[in-house]
Amino acid sequence: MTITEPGEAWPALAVRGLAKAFGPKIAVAEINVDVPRGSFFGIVGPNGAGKTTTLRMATGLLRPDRGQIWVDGIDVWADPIAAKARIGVLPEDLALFERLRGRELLEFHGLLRNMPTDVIASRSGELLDLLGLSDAADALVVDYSHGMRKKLVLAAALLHGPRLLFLDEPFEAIDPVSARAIRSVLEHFTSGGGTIVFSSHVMELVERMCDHVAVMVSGRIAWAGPLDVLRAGGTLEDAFVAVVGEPVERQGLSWLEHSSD
Amino acid sequence: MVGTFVRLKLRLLRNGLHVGQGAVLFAIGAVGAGVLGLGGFVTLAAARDNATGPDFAIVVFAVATLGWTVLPILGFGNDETLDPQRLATLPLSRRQVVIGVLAASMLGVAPAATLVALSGAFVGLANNVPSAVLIAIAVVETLVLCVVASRTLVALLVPVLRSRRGRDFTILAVTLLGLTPPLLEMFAARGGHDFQQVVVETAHRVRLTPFAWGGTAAADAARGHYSGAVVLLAAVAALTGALLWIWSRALERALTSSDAPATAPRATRAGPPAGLIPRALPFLPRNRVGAVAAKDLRYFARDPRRRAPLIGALIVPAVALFATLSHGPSRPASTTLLGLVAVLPAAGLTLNQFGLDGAALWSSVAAGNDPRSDLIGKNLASALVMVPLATVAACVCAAFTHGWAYLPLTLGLAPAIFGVLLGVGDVMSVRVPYAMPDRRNPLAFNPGQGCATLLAGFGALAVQAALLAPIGVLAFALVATTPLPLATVTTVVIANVYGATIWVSGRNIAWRTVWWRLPELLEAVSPRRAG
Repeated sequence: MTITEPGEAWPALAVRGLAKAFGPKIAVAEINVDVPRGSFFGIVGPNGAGKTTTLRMATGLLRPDRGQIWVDGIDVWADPIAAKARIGVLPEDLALFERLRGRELLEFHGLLRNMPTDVIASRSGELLDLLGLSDAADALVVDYSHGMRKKLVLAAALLHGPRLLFLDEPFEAIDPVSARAIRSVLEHFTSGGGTIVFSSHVMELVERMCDHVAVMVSGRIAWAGPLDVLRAGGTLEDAFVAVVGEPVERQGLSWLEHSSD
Repeated sequence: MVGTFVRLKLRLLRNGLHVGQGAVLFAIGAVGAGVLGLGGFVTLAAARDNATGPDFAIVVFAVATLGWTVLPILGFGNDETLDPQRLATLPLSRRQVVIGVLAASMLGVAPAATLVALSGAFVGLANNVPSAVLIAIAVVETLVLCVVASRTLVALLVPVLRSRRGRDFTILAVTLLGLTPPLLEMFAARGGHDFQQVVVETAHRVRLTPFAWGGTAAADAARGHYSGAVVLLAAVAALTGALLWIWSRALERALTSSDAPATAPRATRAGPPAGLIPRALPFLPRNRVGAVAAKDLRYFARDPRRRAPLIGALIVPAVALFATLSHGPSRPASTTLLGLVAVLPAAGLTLNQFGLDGAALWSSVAAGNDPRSDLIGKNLASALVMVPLATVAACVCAAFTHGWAYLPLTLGLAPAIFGVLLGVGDVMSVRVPYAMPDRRNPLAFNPGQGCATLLAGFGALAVQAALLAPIGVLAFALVATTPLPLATVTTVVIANVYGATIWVSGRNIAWRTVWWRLPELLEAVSPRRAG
């Protein structure tokens, strides 16, 4: 990095030498990534590749062993308050204060970020409408379905108008109607100049939504860049297999072919 | 098939032992069950030359059966290792499942302890061959009835226990159950009956309830009423058969119904949506402090784990009050001050304030570093809960002892005491944070949090007690030596300065500790995922 001043010249997210190990297991091994401004950036990889660990470190929820992360040129771990003001997070495990009602939870998130109550109220109303949660807004979150929780956390992540959105498996275990609602909100967000970093192991989804991808395998970035370059005319799955390597040829299982008796 | 189930159960027991914490838990459970089992055995066996021996048998049998019936509903010993739902995909007939699960249920610490306890009747009551045979049958039948009854009730209540309200009720019930021993002690102390008399009376009341049929059969056999014993044993067998039939029906439903009843969430009330901050508390600031305080207050009202201590807060001073009133002359000063113990159950929650948030704490961490606001907000919520509790309890105590003159002193000391409790609680919350058990199971024990956390908790309680002691000494010394108004003003002023100092220092120590360690705090309070 030769740029020293935070601002427009920086990518939305820059990662250098980021590493994290849990005991003997290396979760993330010295990765470097740049996420261009306004891009829809997908991190793809099998389960256990280190996607969630990377996102948790980038959002200030998990301390890295080594390396640096800049959001708009602000070091996340040196100046966390300024960095966190610019980002919104949808974590994977969706642990929530579930004894609050949906609307109360949004107000809680807004007040945590010291937003004025009238702004919180009007934005929550809009987001709840847009995500189809208005009817359940005054029910306790503990009674929400998985999809409703995900939409509610997305609303909370967008409430303060972040510049950069981190989404960990946003479409996992989501019904098609909710998925469509989430997708339209996300497209709205990027068209307004926002940047999205999201992780998924569903290739079709990444292929349909993203313009940039990083392929992550065993804690390393195997490939990163514009989706079209990686795909080169083929499907993302083919490109992914080409980068990661073909799985072991299956042997046996011949009895499965005539198991109808 | 039965062999497979039995081997599965044995394997599960053995594997449970291999996990370090599991072994400790198993040992605790085994010791507890062993004490109960041996206690029952000795009670019955020792009654051999006693005319009331048969009455003891009736009571012990009834208590065992009642315990087996009620405790699983409260989550105790709920044998999830053989949850019939896990067998749903296997091609087994209902008969195979019923017999297999039943056989496996007979293995374990609890059935063994029950068998030991009931066998005492054989030693203590059998006086000839017919009575020995009948008592042996009564013991075996009662044990089977215990196991079948608990299985049947659990199977019938599965839909209720799986719902959120059912689980909430269970958590509340279990917590309150912990408060019953002092209450029982209190009533026992007031009654003043001798133990044998109580047993005989109880036996006469319960002897013909289904819980006691087995025990009454054994008692009848011991007294030579063989025909009565045979009738009762037939009744126990019939009851067991009926429960088995109900169980197998309920089992079929449990096997084919879905795990989580999908009920659409609904708003619990109409009208304009209320905000996070309660209307009754308009003075709460509209910022991070207010948000955290309001969230915690909502949790005191809605989360059974926090509601239970509040109910306890009303019971504890009541017990203390009755205990004081029933022993000796009325002492208005000390009794009115006693009202302050009402805050202790709620104060217990301040030792692990972030642990109560659990993994949901990520939202505070992700919103930016400001742990001081979080601490102030949490302390504010605790104080807002404890102030009314202390006020009500002190007023009640004063009313009973006509100690109104001491009420200003009591209420004036309350903030000082909260200050000390919260100051220590804040430091403890960030120095020794730990994950609370999974709320789905009221008795779940979080692996990895063992004695160290417990010891730290006791240490914190000791520090709190040591820091509170000067306030107590000062109050009693001044009340005893100076006119009450002067003593009140002096004590309240000194104690509050002292309490405020401890609160501010504790909060600042906590804040400095946690300022750069929020991710570590989050990790410490997030329950470890299974698998």
